[in-house]
Amino acid sequence: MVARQQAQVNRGNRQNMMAERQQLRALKTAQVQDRLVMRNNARFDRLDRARAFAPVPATLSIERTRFIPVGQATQFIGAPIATVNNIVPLAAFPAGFSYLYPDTPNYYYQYGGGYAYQIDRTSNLIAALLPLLGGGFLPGQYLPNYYMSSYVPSYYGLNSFYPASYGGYAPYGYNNLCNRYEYGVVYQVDCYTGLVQNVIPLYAGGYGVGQILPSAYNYYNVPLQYRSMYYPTADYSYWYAPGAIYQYSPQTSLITSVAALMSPGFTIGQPLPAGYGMYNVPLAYRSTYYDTADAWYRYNNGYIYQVNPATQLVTAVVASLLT
Amino acid sequence: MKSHALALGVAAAALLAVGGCNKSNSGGNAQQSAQTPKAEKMAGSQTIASGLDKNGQFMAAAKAAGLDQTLAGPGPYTVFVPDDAAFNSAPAGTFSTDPKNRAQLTAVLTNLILPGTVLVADIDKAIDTGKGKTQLATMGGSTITATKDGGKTVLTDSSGHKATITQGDEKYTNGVVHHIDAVLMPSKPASANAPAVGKKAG
Repeated sequence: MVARQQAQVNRGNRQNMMAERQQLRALKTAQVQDRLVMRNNARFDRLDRARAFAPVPATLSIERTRFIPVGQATQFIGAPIATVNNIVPLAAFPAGFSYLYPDTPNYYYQYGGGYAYQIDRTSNLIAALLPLLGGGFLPGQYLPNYYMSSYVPSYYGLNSFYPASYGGYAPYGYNNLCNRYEYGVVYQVDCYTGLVQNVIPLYAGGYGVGQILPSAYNYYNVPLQYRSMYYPTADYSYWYAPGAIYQYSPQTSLITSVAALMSPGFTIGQPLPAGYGMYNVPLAYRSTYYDTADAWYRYNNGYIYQVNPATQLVTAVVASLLT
Repeated sequence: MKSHALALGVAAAALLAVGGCNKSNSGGNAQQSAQTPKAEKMAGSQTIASGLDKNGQFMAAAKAAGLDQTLAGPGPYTVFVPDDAAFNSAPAGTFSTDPKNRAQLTAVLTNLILPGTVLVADIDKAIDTGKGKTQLATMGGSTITATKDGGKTVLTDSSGHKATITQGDEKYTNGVVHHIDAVLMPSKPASANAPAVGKKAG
């Protein structure tokens, strides 16, 4: 009798435990659903904020590189220059750039708001405009979904300069900013919406003289070995991006010249990249650093590196040419 | 937005840059040097920029791409310079200095420049080591293949265009120049279907 009662109690306990377990499971499911709803709400909020953006994100609206939204800028075509001047002050290109946008008997060029404007001399109407920042998309536009999985080639710094996203914060890292790449141009976009925040054309993609430095480029970043040569002054400063060190005017943010071409740097322990099978040490250093059966020497970005011919690994930096 | 982007593309395509008078623009052609005094000292007195023909087509193209100042810097660089006849036989518009062609022009020119000082003998030695061919990494991110043909060094780009070194080892204080008899083109962009400037994305 006692045993039967005990068995009933045990059965009741088991049922209670199962009920508790089911309750816990339901609670967990509810929590997961709540999290999903919250995450979606946050995402939709972000999308709404992005869609309501007008006209240009505040981060881009600093004076030196203020961009006019593409939609607004295209409406200037055919408009009298006087009208446009009320919206965005236009100016003649600085002397250093005029050869890049040469006047003709029919047209002349002015710039402002991130564009070069071609103006008809007889009518004083704007005949055409040319973005001073390269790329098919400009800040304020959305990068199409099919470009969102296109990353910067490693040659141009996927693993260093332009990572897919920044930092370790889930899911997209710092400031929800992602780098995507198309046709020689890096687009810094909102990871969720694809809203273009910044356009960074790379040098071999056509980024160079007469174009504007993106607004995010307002600090000095020239590699250490070049800093004693390329330093900021009142008249001009220098900016490094994979491919080149640019000289630009701090006043206009226009790139005035390419001070030096840069190749991807070597790091100790990495395999010698393709295309460096040939000896390329500068003439003045050849009597000291010449290839032997045990050691090769290769020049890259101001340094001479030693390479193990057997393993083809970069083993040491043996000389700095710039310091 | 798409129509606006398309309009922008049409507008950009409509731009014409024809040399002419300088009526309204205040600027002359005075260009500030990109090189600081220390950089100029390191580059030396006989730079590639000073040694190449100022009136030649290569330097005209280099100037339009902003590379004339670069070739006056410390470098060192190895530059393959197509002769003027090669420029004339290149596809129409390749070396146009029109502002809207600047991207292509830059890509073509950086594909002709190598990092460091590479003499013809260095290329030939690498060809021997590589059993008949070697790859040369360019500043544009592409590679050029070098081979030997009838005792001459032949360069081939990724599309199969060939150029022969006609006069090599022109030495300067910031690098070396090799003259070639044809134009080499860079490899095509990773996304050939991507929109060009201002064009509709799809």
